[in-house]
Amino acid sequence: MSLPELHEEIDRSFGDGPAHRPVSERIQAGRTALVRRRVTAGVAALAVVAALGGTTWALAPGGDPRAGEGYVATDPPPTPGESESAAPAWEDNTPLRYLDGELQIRPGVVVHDRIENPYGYQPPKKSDALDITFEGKRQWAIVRLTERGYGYSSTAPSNGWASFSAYVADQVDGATGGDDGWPETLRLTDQGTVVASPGSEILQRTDDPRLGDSFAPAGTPTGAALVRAAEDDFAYFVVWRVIDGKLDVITTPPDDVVGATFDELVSYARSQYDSGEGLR
Amino acid sequence: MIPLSRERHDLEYSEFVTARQTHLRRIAYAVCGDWHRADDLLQTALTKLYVAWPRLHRDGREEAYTRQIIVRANIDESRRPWRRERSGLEAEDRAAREPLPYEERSALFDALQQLPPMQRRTVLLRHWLGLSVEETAHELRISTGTVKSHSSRGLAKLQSLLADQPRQTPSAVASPDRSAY
Repeated sequence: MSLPELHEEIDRSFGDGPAHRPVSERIQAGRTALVRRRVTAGVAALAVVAALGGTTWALAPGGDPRAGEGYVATDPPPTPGESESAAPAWEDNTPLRYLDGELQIRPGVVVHDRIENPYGYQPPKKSDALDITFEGKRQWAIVRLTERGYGYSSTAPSNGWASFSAYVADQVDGATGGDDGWPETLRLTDQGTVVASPGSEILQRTDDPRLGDSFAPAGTPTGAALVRAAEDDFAYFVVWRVIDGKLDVITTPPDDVVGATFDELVSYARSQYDSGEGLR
Repeated sequence: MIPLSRERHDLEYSEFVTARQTHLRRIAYAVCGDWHRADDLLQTALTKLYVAWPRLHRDGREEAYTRQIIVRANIDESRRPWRRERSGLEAEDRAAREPLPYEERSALFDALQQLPPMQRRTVLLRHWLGLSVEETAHELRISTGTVKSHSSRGLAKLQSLLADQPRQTPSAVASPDRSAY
């Protein structure tokens, strides 16, 4: 079999598969991917809190986290000498947390699936991803324990992902740099400052451009800049936020920069985030 | 002042997806051997493509980018230990992943699926999709020497597997009558 024949043989060796989902669904998945990236980052920042002492969790009788039928987290009975009041209250809208280095699941939360340590952390850092129902709503969630406390983020199921594992994989990839198709323009130093990535050049810059709470909660390090990227020598208008020690850069196409002053670009970004549309 | 034309973005994206999704999903299927997972890989890649569309489309790299995401996502999947540990919904998954009635595949395809994953990817990229050694190395994030090694071993293994099936040699593969994609 010659190599050209191999090409033809492989090409004929299987069919086209089932019908495709509608293109409109693909577009919707893409749109929600843009939106939920902002939402997820925002939620993560708000949920970073110090771990507190208190309750633990247990499975319902007969429950098995790997049984596939889901299980319900319940409070264990207090041991002699232990008062229930010792348990710290749960923060509102928080179904998961770490306590004394152990994952806690809020009583009443139904767990459908769990992936342990998707980030591959070494102790004492920890991570868990869970498919849960909390207060009647199904959600996919990730909780991480780092030296800064624990952070929790979640999304509605299938919100741009094909499966729970795809969602988890995307979050893990995002935390390790990922590839959103734009050239790298900025990086975060060990000291926590945002500087140009190697070979790139910041042409103009402003820190804390007040893009609003929909962009980042108050107190979050943010900025905007016009940066010439080393990769392709194009100038990009970018805005950034540093959430949970991670730099999140939102890049706009270079075509959109042409003819606009830096102040106009910042104003435009502000209006986009005020409207909830954002720049992605 | 700053035209972020979502209509144009969506129109161009739709045209590309409509024209290329069958081919792209076949790539996903060829590397993973399962139409459901292939669809997952394609959807993951197309979602990332949507986010990165303006720049990729401008540079004419949309198809290469999508293929790269598919292949790399497949590699990442196979490397994640927790993927094997999942058990919560596996029973449902197994039931949903029985061979499908529309699935037609030849002895050659089955032999390809028996190759070690990187040999399979290398053979597919080099000898089906026609990528150069350098392009394949970039796509798989391995050295050109490793590409050559995988390619050579993969082809030899393929011939060996097919030789064990005398009634279904490559030239006599019963294949569906497919038109060009």
